[in-house]
Amino acid sequence: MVALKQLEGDGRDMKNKIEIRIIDDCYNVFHNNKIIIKVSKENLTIKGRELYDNLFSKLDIKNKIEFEYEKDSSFINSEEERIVGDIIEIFDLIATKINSKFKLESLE
Amino acid sequence: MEKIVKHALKVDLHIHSNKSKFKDGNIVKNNTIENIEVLIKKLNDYGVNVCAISDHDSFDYNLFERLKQEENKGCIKKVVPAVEFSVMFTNNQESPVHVVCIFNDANNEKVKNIEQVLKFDELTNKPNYDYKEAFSENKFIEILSSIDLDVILIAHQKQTLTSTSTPQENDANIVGEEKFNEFLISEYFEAFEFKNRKNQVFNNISKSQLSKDLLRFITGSDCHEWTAYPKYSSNNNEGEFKHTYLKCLPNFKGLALALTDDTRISMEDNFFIHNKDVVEKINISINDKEYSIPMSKGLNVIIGDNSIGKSLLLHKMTDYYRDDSLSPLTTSVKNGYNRYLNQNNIKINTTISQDKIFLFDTQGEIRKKFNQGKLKENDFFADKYPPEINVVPIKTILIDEVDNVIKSLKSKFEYYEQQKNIFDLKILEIKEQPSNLILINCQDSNEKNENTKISNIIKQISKTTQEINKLLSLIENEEEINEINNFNNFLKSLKDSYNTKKALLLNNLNIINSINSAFNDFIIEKNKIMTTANQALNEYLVNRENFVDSLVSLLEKQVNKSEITFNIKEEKIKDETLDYLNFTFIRRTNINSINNEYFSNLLNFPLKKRPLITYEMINNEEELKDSLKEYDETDPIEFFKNKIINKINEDLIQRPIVNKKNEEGEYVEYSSGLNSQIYFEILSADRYKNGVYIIDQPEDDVSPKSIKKHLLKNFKDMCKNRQIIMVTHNPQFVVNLDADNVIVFTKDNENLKIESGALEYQDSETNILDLVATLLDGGVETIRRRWKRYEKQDRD
Repeated sequence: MVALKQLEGDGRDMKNKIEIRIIDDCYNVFHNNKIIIKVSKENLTIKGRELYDNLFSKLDIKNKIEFEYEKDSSFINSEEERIVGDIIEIFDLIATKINSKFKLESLE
Repeated sequence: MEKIVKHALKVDLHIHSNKSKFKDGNIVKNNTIENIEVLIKKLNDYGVNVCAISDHDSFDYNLFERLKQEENKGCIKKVVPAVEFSVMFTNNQESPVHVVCIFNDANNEKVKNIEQVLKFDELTNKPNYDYKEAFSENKFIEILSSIDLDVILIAHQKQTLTSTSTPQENDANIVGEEKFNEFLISEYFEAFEFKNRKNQVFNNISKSQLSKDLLRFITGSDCHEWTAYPKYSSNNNEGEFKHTYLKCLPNFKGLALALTDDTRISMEDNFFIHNKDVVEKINISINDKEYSIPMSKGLNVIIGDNSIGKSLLLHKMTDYYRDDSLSPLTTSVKNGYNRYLNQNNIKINTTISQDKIFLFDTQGEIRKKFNQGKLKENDFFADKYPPEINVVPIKTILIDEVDNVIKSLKSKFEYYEQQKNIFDLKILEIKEQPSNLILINCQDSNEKNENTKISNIIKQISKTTQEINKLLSLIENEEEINEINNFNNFLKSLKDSYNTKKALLLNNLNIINSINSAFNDFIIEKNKIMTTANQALNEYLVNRENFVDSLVSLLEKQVNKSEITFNIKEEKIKDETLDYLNFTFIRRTNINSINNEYFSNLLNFPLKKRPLITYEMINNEEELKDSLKEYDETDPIEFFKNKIINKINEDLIQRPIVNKKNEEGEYVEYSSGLNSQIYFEILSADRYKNGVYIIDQPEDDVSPKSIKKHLLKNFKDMCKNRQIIMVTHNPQFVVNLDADNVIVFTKDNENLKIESGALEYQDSETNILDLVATLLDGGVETIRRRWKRYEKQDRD
């Protein structure tokens, strides 16, 4: 497991850190150290409402949304890697669409 | 004799002669019949129209008769017999009350008899007093009964009733408060006499404190020295004497009516304010008989039976100009009027031009004005109301804020709806991976070529064998036959050999086909797996797209969602007012201010009260639908908005209101039921617009109670300022208004007959009071109430 890197500063540099760990046959997705969703290996389902309530409804959308991902190093097979890749792809897709919809631009 | 009052009468009913010498001494010694010219000159100099010698407890008929000879020579129009009685009404009075009694002079013998009834005691040479130097009340009444004439009683009240000093000698209030109140309530006296002009103000205060109808004041000179007239005497330094004016004809009935109606008494000749728009007379020709009806500057009432032509007279005189929607004067009515005039040979030769008419209220018109709501906005009142309040800025504030609320509500609802679109995404799961093997089909062309070749050989061998057998049938040589048979055998073995080869070849081809078929099945299966995976992938990608879009859209709705907030700054909505006379005409909205509380209530207005629901509690369209009152299944947000806007419009409706100062000086709002009161109050108060007021049967539009309570006063006020011509069947308008001129339409042997005169007018043919009593329902009762104790006259 890679520990979540906490970035501190004046807030302007704050990026959204997403960490994915496998715990108890679930893909656990953390945002800034807080768990936001669990995706069970059995049904591989992302609960939309949970994802919205726990992450996207709380995002500051004044600035461009960018995620930095940290993956669990203990992934044992390519299937797990593929699933994590899909989750990341979904997060990025949402971020891209939000940025486009709200015409958000990076501060940099 | 004049039929109507054209000018007020200047009166002095209290002058002493030498006959009062027994009481007043030498001061009256020169007031003798021989010196009557002195008094006559003085009376003419002062323009006195009605006068009376009223000596203490005595009467000099000769003097009365002498003065009466002056009637209609100069100013004097009427001399009435009178006596000043000294009456002790109670046992503990400090002095008698002086009561001037004016007698009806209709019966000269009885007038002559007054002197006899009041004959002095031979021993004392004074009146036959029964109580100190006066008559007791009983004796006084006994004397009046003996005289047996209608009488008007005027009590001394030289000191004002508001004075805190001890009551003055000979004044009515010397009898004490209780007895004096009895005098007032029973109207024992027709009037009270005062002399000092300064007291007039205080007398008016007394009248305002008591019922105005109970107290009537007139002046009397109480002149004791004719040369000093109208002073008491030449030695008296009192101020200038002011005569009283009475609005009446110069006869006893006129005096009696005038002294019992405060509106007929004035210290100025101001009963008729000169108005250029006056109808002087009405000229009518009936069957070639000419009638010229003199018209009063005040109130002229036209009475008579139904359908006798009273309304016709008004419409014809005004040249039918009131043939509008509010008037009953339809074309058929107009034609009927013209037919009636022709059939009865009536010509109305007086026309009142429209510019001389203040207003013509036709029969039933006022009620129509009220019913049609025209009172508040009709031509008469239009200029009295202020312009409308500019509510546009207020309305704009409210509507803008409502739009914001609706926007917030919509965003709230959209957010709620979008939440329902969020779903769970299943990540693509890959279960089978197709093999990567490459399969190459077996080639079978060599085998097929060999097979064709062998088949051709076998075919040719069979053909050759058939030809050889044909040949054999032709040959008879045995050797040759044997040789041919040997060759046949060879061909047969060759054919067998090739058939064997062919069978092997066909086996090989079957095996190749089986392999190729297996290969094909494998490829089909692989393609099938590939298609399912691709479909699942595509489906997943579409789902993922939708999933992402729904989340982004929800975020968008969340960002756009705004809570219902408003900030309505307190704004007062001021009335628009316009003062007119004693009234304030007001335009007032149903609300007088807007603020946050008002707006909050406004938002809750379309919502149900039970159970109590407020706009903050509503989260979605379904909840709104369930919360709306009288919801009609249309778009709920539009319904909600329309209800609020309608309420705003309703709250900003401007009501026209009339306020009037009450007796305490506070403005009170009239209720709609008092329209007629306002109407006539305003009409009567309008002193600026000239013209005649014509009204046909006002009693049709107003309750009898309201007539008595309000209208009589309104008409009394109005007829001071303008001429009124009224058709009526109500005796109150004739008798209680003391009509200045009563025009009576009757039928005499089917011919129309017209009589006219003031209420008190009477000659050998016409008695106006009698006509009123006969023609009007309730006339007798009304006259009795007005005529009070002059029943003797009434009986006559």
